[in-house]
Amino acid sequence: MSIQPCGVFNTSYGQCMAAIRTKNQWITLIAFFVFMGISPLIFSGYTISLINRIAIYVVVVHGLNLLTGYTGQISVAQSAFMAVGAFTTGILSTKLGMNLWLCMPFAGIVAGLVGILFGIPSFRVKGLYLALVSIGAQFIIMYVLLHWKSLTGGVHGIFIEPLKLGPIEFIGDSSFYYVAMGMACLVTYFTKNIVRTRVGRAFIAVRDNDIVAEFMGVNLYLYKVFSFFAGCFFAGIGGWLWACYIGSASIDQYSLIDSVWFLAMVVIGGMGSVVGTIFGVCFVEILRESTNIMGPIIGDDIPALGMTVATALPLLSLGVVIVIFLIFEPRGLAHRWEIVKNLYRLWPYSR
Amino acid sequence: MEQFLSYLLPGLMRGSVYTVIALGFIVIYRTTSVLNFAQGELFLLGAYGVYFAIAQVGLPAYFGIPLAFIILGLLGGLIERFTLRPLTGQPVLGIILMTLGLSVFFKGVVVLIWSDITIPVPTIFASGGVKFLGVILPTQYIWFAAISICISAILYLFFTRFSTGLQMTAVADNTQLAQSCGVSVNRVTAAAWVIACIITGAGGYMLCTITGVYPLMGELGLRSLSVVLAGGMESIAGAMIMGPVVGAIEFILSGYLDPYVGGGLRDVVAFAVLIVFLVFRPQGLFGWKIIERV
Repeated sequence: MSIQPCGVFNTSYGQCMAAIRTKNQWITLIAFFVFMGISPLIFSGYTISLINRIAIYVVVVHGLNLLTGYTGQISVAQSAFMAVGAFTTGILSTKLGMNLWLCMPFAGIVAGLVGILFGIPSFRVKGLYLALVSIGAQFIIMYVLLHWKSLTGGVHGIFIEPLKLGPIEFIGDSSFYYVAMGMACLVTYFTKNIVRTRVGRAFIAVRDNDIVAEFMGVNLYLYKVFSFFAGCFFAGIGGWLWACYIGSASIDQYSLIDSVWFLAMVVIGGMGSVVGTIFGVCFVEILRESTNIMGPIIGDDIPALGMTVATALPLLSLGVVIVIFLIFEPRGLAHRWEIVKNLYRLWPYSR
Repeated sequence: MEQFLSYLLPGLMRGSVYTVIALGFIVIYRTTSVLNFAQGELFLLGAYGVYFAIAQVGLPAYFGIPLAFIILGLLGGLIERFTLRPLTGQPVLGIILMTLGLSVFFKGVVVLIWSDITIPVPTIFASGGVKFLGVILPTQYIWFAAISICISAILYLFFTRFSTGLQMTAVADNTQLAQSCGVSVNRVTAAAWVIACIITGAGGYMLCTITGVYPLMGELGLRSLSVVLAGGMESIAGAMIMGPVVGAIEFILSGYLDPYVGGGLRDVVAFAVLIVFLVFRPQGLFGWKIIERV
């Protein structure tokens, strides 16, 4: 529990439970929403496309954080579940002609059900063995999507019409921004509240000590299934967003390495922290973008390295960042943020 | 029958390469309980290292190949010292992510130095084939089987007869007790990494003489995870038996079913085996540890 600002006293249970407690927090929140609302007018299309990607990944990584960070079930297959969501969207919208907005819950639910399927071994094994299951899941799901050509279109994927709401067409970065950011805010709100309730506490109990959790009356099977469902549901929603954003569902964007990026976002941000997830996604995504920009420049300046540096640099930097964070700050950016916040609140007695 | 044998025999022999890679996993796992997901990339580095030593530097094969493996072994020691030792006592997710991070890092190194094209690895195995039971077997495959049996036998002796090997088993069983009996845990874990990297590099070199080497081949190293798991995470004999079995299952299933499913089944059969084993027999066929059950 973090320290409350000076002079803030709770006089009712409602106040104690409130996520947003002080007047300053309300001001910050409203200012944030206003800023987010007008930012497509301020920033260039490039920045907005970066923010869009961050918003979509926030949705996906919230799911992974529920599954891995809160419940402790390691999954290296988050991008495969994202692919399930994307392809469900593609199949429903083209084969059945379903409205794209209506596809969203289905994308989540199908991804969640596939997640439960691969979560079944979690009743028997945990930890390292579960990581093995998820690696298997990643390869098997991608194989099925690639080879079930009649349904998924194989390597060509499925073309998806732009998202529409009445007369408005969400095409291009600055209009899709509102969809992506809206979903990111909604999922953040939802996750924040899941983890504060009985369900979230049960997740944490399962992670910290499953035997004690069962002894305390937490139904392990139920909560593990729910955790897999929720984690993969968000991945499916993320897949829906991503498919609508780029206008197609295709195989090559959901590889094992993307799953590693997602897991890195969770750990760098701080496992078991909602705000940490957002930090992690921002940090890793900005890192990836800057290495994408830096790569060709370095390749031009140092011809000896050649153009391969553009492909290699994101991988190298991700590897280095993971190693550094695990050794020096295994609790992630969220922990740093807590320290900074407490220093600020206790000032001038914080030294 | 002829067709069946033509799938079975090459499968068995190619599977023996999986055994070699699986032994790399096992040596690390049974000493430190770390499952090294960077194995795929170490396997790549073995093949690229030999390519570098022979084709790029121009060393003779009898000198270049051992040199490449020795350097890879030293790299393994460095990995253990600087990335995994600081994580001792951390939760298992941290360790898994560390090895995944290392695998991404080494993939980056490989792409940076050798680009992402397919490179033919200089081979020391004679080409040609031998006819056996009506099936033509490439000579390479026979060498693979022989080498993998040799490596397994040496490792088995190492773990049952030699002091360092016994110390590794002791560390795996109870680290604190081993330490209080005078075993240097740091030295033993470093030794495990060195040995594992050399073995993995050798396996990678062997497999890449067939297909050539490219960065995505690292995922092939992950396939031998199913061998590790099916045989039992600590069992050398298990890997020795299950390697060829998984190889044969891959060849037979993809041989018979590929026309119906549109090819590429070989890439996922191993993972299906992995999941089946995890659901029905998580400790593998010959594993000796009681698995963490829920």
